[in-house]
Amino acid sequence: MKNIRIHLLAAIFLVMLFSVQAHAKWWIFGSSNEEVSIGFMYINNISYDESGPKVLLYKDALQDGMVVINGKASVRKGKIGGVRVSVNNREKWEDAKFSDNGAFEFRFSPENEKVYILFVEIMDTAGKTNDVEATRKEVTISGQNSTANIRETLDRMIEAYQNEDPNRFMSYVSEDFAGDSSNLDRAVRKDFSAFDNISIRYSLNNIASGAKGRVFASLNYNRSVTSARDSKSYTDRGMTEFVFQSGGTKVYSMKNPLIFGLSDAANVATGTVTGATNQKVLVVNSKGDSSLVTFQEAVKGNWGEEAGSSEAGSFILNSCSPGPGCLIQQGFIFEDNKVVSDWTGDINLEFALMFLHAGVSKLDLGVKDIASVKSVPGSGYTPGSFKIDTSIGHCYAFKLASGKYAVFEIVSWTDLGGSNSTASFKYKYQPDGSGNF
Amino acid sequence: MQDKEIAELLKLYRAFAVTLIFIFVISYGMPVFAADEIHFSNELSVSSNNRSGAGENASSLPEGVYTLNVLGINGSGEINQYTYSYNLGIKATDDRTNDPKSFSLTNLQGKFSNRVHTLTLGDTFEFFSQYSLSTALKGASYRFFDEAKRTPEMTLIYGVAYPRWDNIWHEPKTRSLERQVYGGRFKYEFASAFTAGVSVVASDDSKRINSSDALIKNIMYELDAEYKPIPGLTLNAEAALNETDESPGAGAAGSTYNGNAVKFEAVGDGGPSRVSLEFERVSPDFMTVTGAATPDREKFKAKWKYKFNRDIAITSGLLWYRDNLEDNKAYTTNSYKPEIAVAVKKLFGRQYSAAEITYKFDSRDGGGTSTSDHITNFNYRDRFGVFDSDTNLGCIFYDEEKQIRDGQEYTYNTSLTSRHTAGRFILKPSVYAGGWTLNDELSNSTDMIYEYSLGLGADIPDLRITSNIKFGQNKLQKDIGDDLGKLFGNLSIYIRPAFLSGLNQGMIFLRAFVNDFDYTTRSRNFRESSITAGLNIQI
Repeated sequence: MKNIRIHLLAAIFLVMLFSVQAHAKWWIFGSSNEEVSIGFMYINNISYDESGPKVLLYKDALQDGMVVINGKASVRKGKIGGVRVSVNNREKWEDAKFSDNGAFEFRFSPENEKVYILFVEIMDTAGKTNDVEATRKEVTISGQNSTANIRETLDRMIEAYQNEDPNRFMSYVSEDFAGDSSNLDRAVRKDFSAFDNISIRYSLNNIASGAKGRVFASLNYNRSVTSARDSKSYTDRGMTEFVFQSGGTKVYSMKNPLIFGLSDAANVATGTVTGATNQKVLVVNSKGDSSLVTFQEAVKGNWGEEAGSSEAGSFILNSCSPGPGCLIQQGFIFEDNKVVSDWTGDINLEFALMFLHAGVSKLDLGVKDIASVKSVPGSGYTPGSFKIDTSIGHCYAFKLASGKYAVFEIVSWTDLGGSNSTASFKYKYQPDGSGNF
Repeated sequence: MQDKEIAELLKLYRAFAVTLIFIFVISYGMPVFAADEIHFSNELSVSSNNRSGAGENASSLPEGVYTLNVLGINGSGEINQYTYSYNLGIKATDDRTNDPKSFSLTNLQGKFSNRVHTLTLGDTFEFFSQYSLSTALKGASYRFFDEAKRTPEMTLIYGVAYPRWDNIWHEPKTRSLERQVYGGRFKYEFASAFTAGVSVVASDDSKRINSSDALIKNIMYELDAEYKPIPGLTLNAEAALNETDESPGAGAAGSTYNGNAVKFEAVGDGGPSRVSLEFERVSPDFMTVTGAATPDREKFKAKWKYKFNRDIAITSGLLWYRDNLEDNKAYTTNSYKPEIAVAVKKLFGRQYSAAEITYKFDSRDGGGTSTSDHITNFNYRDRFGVFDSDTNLGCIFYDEEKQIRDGQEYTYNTSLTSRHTAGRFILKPSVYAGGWTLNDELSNSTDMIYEYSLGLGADIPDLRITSNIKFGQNKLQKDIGDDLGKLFGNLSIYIRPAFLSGLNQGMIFLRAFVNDFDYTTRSRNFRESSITAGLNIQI
């Protein structure tokens, strides 16, 4: 069934792509009634319509120090006769480059701390023009660096988040948001269900401006919220990172630990900060319950979810060298909690080597108490045997042939002489298929 | 004063001295080469925080008086045919909740370019592509591109992906895993409508902080292209492969794996419509440490914005994704997120009215569990006489098969704002009232939150004063658990006095707030308050 859905979606996508050849304007579902109109227009890659009547641009974020206005105009009859732009409230007009198909571009090098009043006029060969008044835009060029812009954007995002206003919050999120803006939109709405009295303070650690108005920001935050579920107050602090687009006005990506969209951190965050300590951070599970967990647990995800209860216990395996009196090399089947002697176990001991059944793979979690293993990774598992005599105290995670997970801790291994050995283990097995224990 | 504190102070003073020398060199040294520009900005603020009550530990506010100073310097100019720009940011504070360090460098960047050769030093942010490199480094980059000759664009980069500058000198209080990154990108515009690029980015982690920190050695090969077959239509594609060695923790056995990711995107922007379609497939073993991707995901996304006329716009979208691409999990989870929104201006012929209704569906199924959340919201803005109003009504229906979450949630709020001129004063009163109700069918309980607030903004334009005061109450009433009542108030005043006019946008500000939390269980009660005064100057 899932393959049918995938193929159906892929087919729709491909049909739409290739229909370009069939009908060049397949994506236009309507047309303007005006004689001369502007189909779309951008100012430094920001939608002219959506940027509002006033735009603040930061000089250091301008590509080659230029303001660029580009777009596409259309006329009902005839051809485009000219495109011109005024940057000084219609006192003087300058011609823009344009082509027969209506595409146009105008560039100018602005001065710092100056306000430009822009108008764009499109004229057809019959002398008719667009609604010039509707193109009025006030553009201010700031000589400050991107830090001020980032602070302003973050302040507004935090204000919208604290006021639990999802629409205003999402207006600062790019449509290209790496974790998908739909995921973030739903996640912040769930945050607002989970939290009340949200308070976030932050302090910038690092700002770096890149090409095309992209800005990287690293910040420290302090946060306190009241859980709407248990009415308890939760406070945490940490360091996180953002990438902004459009000169710092729209968020492109966010990393763990998140300050926004905690309710779906696994989908919203794309990456993890490298400098995070293992202090406790705030998380929300799918029920809307809040809790504080260590940063590493938070990054692994699925903390506090309603995982089916895992099975746990201990077992001992013996291995005798084949011969008179001993023909056993014991193994263990996690699902059945059963020691077997016929090499049908998920794991099978032969002296100091642990052999894995076909389809079973393992991951060494290092030296740790099995009680501290709350979840195991979903990838990184390898097949093949491994030595246990040199790994006492290690925990191993297993991905079983059924796709389910188990974990064991090697408690002891004893060489009984004559190639005979005995080993004891603690284990956990999760029958619900998740990696949570 | 203890030796440790004295050493800390000496360190702070030494760092200040080094900074002042640096500023002096930049301020007086660089302009020697040309008549260039330099801007300083500095914000100094002092906060006094107070908290009290039996439950005061629940406050995130540190008790006491703290200072914060944020200094920024940026400049630009020309030396012969090269333009240069630089910026420097420094933060000093004694508030450990603000920063673990008393003194820190927030940004340091120098850029030199003759429009063909561009060298960036310090904070370097080269965005190669989503998968390969979309993070900043502390290091250097070099870019060659001659736009006039339409040459290929070539970028080389080397640096360390540290979040802070003090990670460079291994400051114990802000330790970070060391991630060295180096790579290159080659991009060429084969035709005016077709551009392609190739990137290779390698990263190498070392110096884990926690024994369970994973160390990753990664090489990413990436190819991307953009094609504009006709005006308004843009096709983008990106493909990437990784070779990864991962050590999941100290003493743990490492593993080697390869993964891949592909993405296709079509954006049609013309007339009243904007349509975007996107397909992405990221394999379970795809690993990017300098880019952005979610492994084990196949995704399809579509969005259509249609401007019916000047007053009516429709936005619709669909996001679908699934995991378990290689059938190595016990089950596959599918997520569906369709949505539609209709926005109407000048409703009922009212000039200032604007209404928007949105419906979003959020569904996930897999492993015997399925969730279906329906999110509906209605927003209406209008002007009634001298009042501007903004009203929201929303409801969310939660439904989860395994009885993890089942209930309805309603939000309702409205605000009225106004603006009046009285002599030299501009007064902006506001009132807000709203609530939230959750019916939890699993616990058969109902929780409610009410909030109301009153605000007054007062501006005196000729004295360049803007101010705002707001106070109100927020009440959480729970069927099960503690009720909470919170009284709050906040005040802000910003003044740009005449004596600071020589400092461009010099400003004095005062901000204060108080929150009083009153729980059913009195031992949890507390009050927190803070007052901050500051000076912001820009030269």
